Amino acid sequence: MGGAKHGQPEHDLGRIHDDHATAMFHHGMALLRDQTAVRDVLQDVFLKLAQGRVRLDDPAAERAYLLRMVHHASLDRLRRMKVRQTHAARQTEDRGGGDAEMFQRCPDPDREAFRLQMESALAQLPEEQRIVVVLKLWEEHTFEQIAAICGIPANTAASRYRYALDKLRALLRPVYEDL
Amino acid sequence: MKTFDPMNSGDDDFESDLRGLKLRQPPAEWRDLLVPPAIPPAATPGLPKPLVAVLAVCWAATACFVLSKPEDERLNLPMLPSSPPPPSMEDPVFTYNETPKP
Repeated sequence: MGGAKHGQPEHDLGRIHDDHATAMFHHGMALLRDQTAVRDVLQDVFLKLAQGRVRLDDPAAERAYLLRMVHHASLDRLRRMKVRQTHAARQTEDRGGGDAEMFQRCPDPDREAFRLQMESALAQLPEEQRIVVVLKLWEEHTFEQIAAICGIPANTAASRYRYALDKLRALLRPVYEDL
Repeated sequence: MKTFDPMNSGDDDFESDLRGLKLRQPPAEWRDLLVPPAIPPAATPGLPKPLVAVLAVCWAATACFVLSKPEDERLNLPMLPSSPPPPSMEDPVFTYNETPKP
C-alpha cells in the first residue's frame, strides 16, 4: 500500500476508519475507560498510519494489527496515568462521568438499571480481564484471536475470561435476579 | 465427573444477557479528527489559466515565425556587386622577381 506522500493515502485512512474505528474505540474504552484518553490513543495510531511509520500489508490481519496497536498504546497510557494519578483525577474517576461509560443508554428503566450495574461491575474488573471480556462477548473474537491481540497464551485468555465472568456474575447477582 | 474446561464457557444465558447491552459508538466528529481532509484541487500549485493561454499563444507565434519561409526567397546564387579593377603598380617592388638581373 503506497502513501500519498509517505504513509497511507487519505482514502485508505478513511476506509480503515470506517472498518475498524468502532472496534478500536471499544478496545481503548475497555482498557482506559476514558473517552478523551482513547481519542488521544486513536489519534496516535492514525498519525502513525498517515506518516507511514506502520504498514498494513495483510488485509486479513488488519483488524488484529490495529487492535494490537491500540492495546499497546492504551497500556502505555494506563501506566503513565497510574503514575500521575492525582487526588483530583481520582475524584473524577469515582464520580464516573459519561466519558467513562462503555454501553449505550437504554430507554427501558430496568435495562438502564442493569446497564449502570454492568458499568460499575466492569469497572471493578482488572484491565486484563475486562479487555478479554469485551473482546470475547461484544467483539466476538475467539480465544486464539484474543491471545494474538493481547500477546498472551490462548489458555490465559480463556481463564481470564472465566474469572471475569465469575466476578461479573457475583457483582450483578442482586440486579440480575430482580430481572 | 464434571471437569473445568476453560475453553468452553458453558454459561450461555448469562453471556447472552450481557451481550444484550450494546457498546457505545465513537463520537461521529472523531472521523474528521482522525482522518486528515483531502487537499482540494484548487490548492495544488500551478500557473493561472490566463497566463498559460498567453504563453501558449507566444510559443505558437514563435514557432510559426521560425518555421515559415520568407516570401521573397531567392533560389539563385547571391549577386555580388561589380568590383573596381585593381590599381596598377608603377614600381612593383614587392613582387617576386622572375628575371634576375645579370
